[in-house]
Amino acid sequence: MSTSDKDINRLTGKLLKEGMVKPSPDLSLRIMELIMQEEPLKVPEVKKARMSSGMPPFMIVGIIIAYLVVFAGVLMLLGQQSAGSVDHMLEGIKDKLPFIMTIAAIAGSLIFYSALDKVLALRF
Amino acid sequence: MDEQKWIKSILAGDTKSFSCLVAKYQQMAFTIAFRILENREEAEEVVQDAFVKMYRALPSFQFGSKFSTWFYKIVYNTAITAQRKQSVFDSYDDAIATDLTTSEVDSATAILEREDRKEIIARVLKKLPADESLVLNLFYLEECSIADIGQITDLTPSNIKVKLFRGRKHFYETLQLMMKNETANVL
Repeated sequence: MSTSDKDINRLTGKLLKEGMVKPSPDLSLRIMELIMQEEPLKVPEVKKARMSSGMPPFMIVGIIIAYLVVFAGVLMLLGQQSAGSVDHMLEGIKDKLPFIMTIAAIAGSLIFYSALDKVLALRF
Repeated sequence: MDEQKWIKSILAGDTKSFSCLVAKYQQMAFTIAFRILENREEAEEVVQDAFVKMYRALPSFQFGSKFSTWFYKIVYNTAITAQRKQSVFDSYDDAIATDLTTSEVDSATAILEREDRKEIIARVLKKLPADESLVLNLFYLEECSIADIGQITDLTPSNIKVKLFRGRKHFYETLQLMMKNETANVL
């Protein structure tokens, strides 16, 4: 057979289109009349996810208290040191500062983007 | 996508947006119903029912799936129920239709030149088994994929392919036969 399958497909589509039976012109009006008689649609309520980490409140309060205790402990430790040893301690931290800054930036970005993702997911 | 916009408007209470869905899908819905029922009035009844069913089911429609496939499935099921049969499809057998001959394709091409081609093709389609006619229409007119047709009719991909191939062969054979008979009658 000389005609390709693509040509036959095109020809078949054309022929079928020619033989298409059209519905009555008022069919769409009849459908719309039926739809207008229908009750308004009830869209199921989608409960919005709460903007929280998913942890129970007592756990969040516990973490805050633990942070405060650690922070107070560090302050007390520094207060007990003499002026010279505080300077020495700060000198020691200076070398590790780039590393601490990198970790802080990565952790900060992670928290920021996950929060942004949650907000966008709720809005759209 | 237009549908998404229209559906959101309908769900927001703008029922008139539904007319956009009607305008876009009523022709194919009617074709599906007509191929199954082979009766214009019954097919129109089915289309009306299918649109009402679709309206009621709109809140549960997930935009992840293709709207046309989802709606045509409703039309198909409504038509099958109206026909009071379990399925429009005959039992599946492995018989394979032979390929189209040159003379069959030539007759089909010649018919495009005729003024009464619409009537002739409509008559040919009426002579075809309902299942083959339906699959042909979904594939060639609506450009549904094999997977889409499978979702609408619950047929397996291999079954659909056989029905498409066989339906096309029957279509061309019937068309050629009809042309020959007409020529014989004229002579």
